[in-house]
Amino acid sequence: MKLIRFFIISIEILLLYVVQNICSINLPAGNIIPDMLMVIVCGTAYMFGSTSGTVYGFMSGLLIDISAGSSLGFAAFIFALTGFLAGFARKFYSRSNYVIPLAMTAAGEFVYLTLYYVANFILKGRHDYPLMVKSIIMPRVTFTLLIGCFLYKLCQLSVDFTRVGEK
Amino acid sequence: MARRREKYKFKLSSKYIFIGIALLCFVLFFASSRFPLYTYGIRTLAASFVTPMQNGINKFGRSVYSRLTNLAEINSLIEQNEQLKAELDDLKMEYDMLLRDNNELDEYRTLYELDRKYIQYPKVAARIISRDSNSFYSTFTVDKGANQGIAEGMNVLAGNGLCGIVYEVYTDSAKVRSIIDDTAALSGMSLKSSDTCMVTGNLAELLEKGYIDISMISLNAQLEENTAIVTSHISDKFHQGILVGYAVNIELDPSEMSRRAKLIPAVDFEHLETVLIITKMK
Repeated sequence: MKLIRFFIISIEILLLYVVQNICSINLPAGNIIPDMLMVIVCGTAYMFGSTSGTVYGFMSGLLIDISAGSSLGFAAFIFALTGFLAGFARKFYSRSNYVIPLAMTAAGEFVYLTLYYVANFILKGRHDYPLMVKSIIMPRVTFTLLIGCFLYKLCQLSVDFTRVGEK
Repeated sequence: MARRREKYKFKLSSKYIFIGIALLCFVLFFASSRFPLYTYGIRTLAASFVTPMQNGINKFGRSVYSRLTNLAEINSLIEQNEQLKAELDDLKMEYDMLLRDNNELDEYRTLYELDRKYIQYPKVAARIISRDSNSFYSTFTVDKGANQGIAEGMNVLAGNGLCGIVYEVYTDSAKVRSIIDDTAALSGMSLKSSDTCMVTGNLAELLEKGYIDISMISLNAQLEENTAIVTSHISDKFHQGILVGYAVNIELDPSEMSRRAKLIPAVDFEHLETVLIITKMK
């Protein structure tokens, strides 16, 4: 059952990655695309614990690195860390709780974008962090949360049948 | 016996998995920044795997979208058709007149031996299939690659303006760094006075106000507001004379050794769909 779950979530991650990469071309939503992978990483970490969170975080972060960043491993590390930390919230797991996974998604996204900004902009002599927060980071976090409400539910439904027999 | 096996059952704690993955990340990070050529293989593999998927979904999305808009626009199209037919008659007449004028002009030109030649580069059209997935997007992927004759360092145009430069090539796709990217810099010059300057990308300001930066304009340069800036003869990568944008807000640099300005790009970066790649290298 765990293997099936792994396959399902991997395929979800791959599909969402492709959709996320191309939707910016077809949807002119002010250049902001929601980070759907972060929702999946925090959602699975919340549902299945730290180990799953770390592994899925690493996978999705690596995908993002391959497509966007100049160096591999940067997003992979931050996503894995987010998944690992989010996994500790499994103790409070409840099926109908949306607040915890979405709050973790927002926090993870905020930290990821801030670190990306630090690594790629501050070192090049651009230090207008408030402008960055206003024009890129906050819209993206908000949009991610909006999409996340539905995506988290979908993710939960898609792996529901693999949870039979677990407490 | 059974009890012993249970006791030694191998179980990884999530802590160790995390530490392992973190180490792997650091190794990858250093490997990719110190030896970019080795990680190039991984990227090529991933690109050849993901590109067909992206193409497929793009095609699907476009066909659905065009169906929907087709239905919605039929009525307005019928109306427009009537108008256009009327307009066409007018234009036909005008065209005939212009053709006559043109012939006349050609005659005069041959008389003056003024056969003006526009520089024409061989170009390939390419479709954008993805952008950076984090919103600091300023690089994008197009659907033509090494198989279609694209090579690193080729100039990319959109409309009649400079859009960017190809910086990574895979078998069937290539990555383009646009001129608005914070790491991009190119040498430009004023179309009127040939004064050179540096054009550097500035993503934050572009998003906010629609400008990127121009620096190192000589104090003696005769640069006016709204002057067209084109690529200069200095650059070893960009062909000379491609329109980059228009200079505005010219002011004195704090160092008082030069002047700086803002540039409005000629390309509308928010609505890029297809680009032209110049297949001739400088």
